[in-house]
Amino acid sequence: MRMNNDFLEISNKTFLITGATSGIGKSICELLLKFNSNLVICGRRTEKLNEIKNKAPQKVIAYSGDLTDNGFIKNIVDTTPSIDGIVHSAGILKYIPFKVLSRKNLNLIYDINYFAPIELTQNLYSKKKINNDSSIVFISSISGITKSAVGLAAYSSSKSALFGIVKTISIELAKNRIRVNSISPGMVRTEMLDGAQDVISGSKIIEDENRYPLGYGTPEDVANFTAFLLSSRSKWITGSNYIIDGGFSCI
Amino acid sequence: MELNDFLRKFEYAIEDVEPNSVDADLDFQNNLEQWDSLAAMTLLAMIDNEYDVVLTGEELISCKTVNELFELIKSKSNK
Repeated sequence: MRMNNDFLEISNKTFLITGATSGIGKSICELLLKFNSNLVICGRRTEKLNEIKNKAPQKVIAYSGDLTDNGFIKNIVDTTPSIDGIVHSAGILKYIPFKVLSRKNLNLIYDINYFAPIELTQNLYSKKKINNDSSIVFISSISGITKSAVGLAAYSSSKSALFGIVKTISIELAKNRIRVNSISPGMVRTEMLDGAQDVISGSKIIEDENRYPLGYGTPEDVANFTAFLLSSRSKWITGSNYIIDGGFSCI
Repeated sequence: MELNDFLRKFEYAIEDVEPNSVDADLDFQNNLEQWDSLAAMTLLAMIDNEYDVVLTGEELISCKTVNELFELIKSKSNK
């Protein structure tokens, strides 16, 4: 029996990607376009959204705005075509030692890392914009489960909080065969890492990377696995979290 | 924003620094025993909280004294 070359079978499916303008989100968009998927992309930077849209104008719908704005979410939910999956890649990281962690910064980080993906998913689901047999992927972080770091109380806890959502709604949405999973990447070379280098010295970053058996990851490393989770080849996988970290958590 | 107030907040941000022990002309990176990467991180977060100013690590270490830091924050602040 010969295997169909199109193992993933995600061409012509429609996926909504948040945080599409950089890092992991952008890499996922680029990969899915190679598989001829349709994309609904969200981000705050219009020119960056257009860069993706211009790669395949017929295949991409772009929404430019802030997911912490309820009106923006409402607009997406009202006007988007039905989707076969979501990747929640929008998120921010700030280094704030617990001693000076303010409610304002907790709110800021939770608003985008936790409340926004929940609100977006919940609205899409209740307005029946998520097709049966869809796949929802939350990009969490190893700091939410295995290894955190100084200054990451707010970020790390916002990522752990996603596990409760994943576990619970995977049960609730199973009746529609909608699967819900999360990926917990280790340190990946993105703008978020560049931002970290504003706060943490270059030498400490090198020191940190040496603690990764396979070094830091690339956005493509996460995108590749995300594509599998979006694909119906993973149809029996739900309520799970996947650590993708170059072996860091093992040390 | 007021210098004395900033000095007290600076002292608070860094572990084990006695209140009223820091002067504006302190070369905090070289002459403050308690200066380390956690101190730097806490200071940056405190400045964000108290003055709504986000400095980069590079900007912070470009300041030779506490007073220079104060002036930098003031120049970026609306207060």
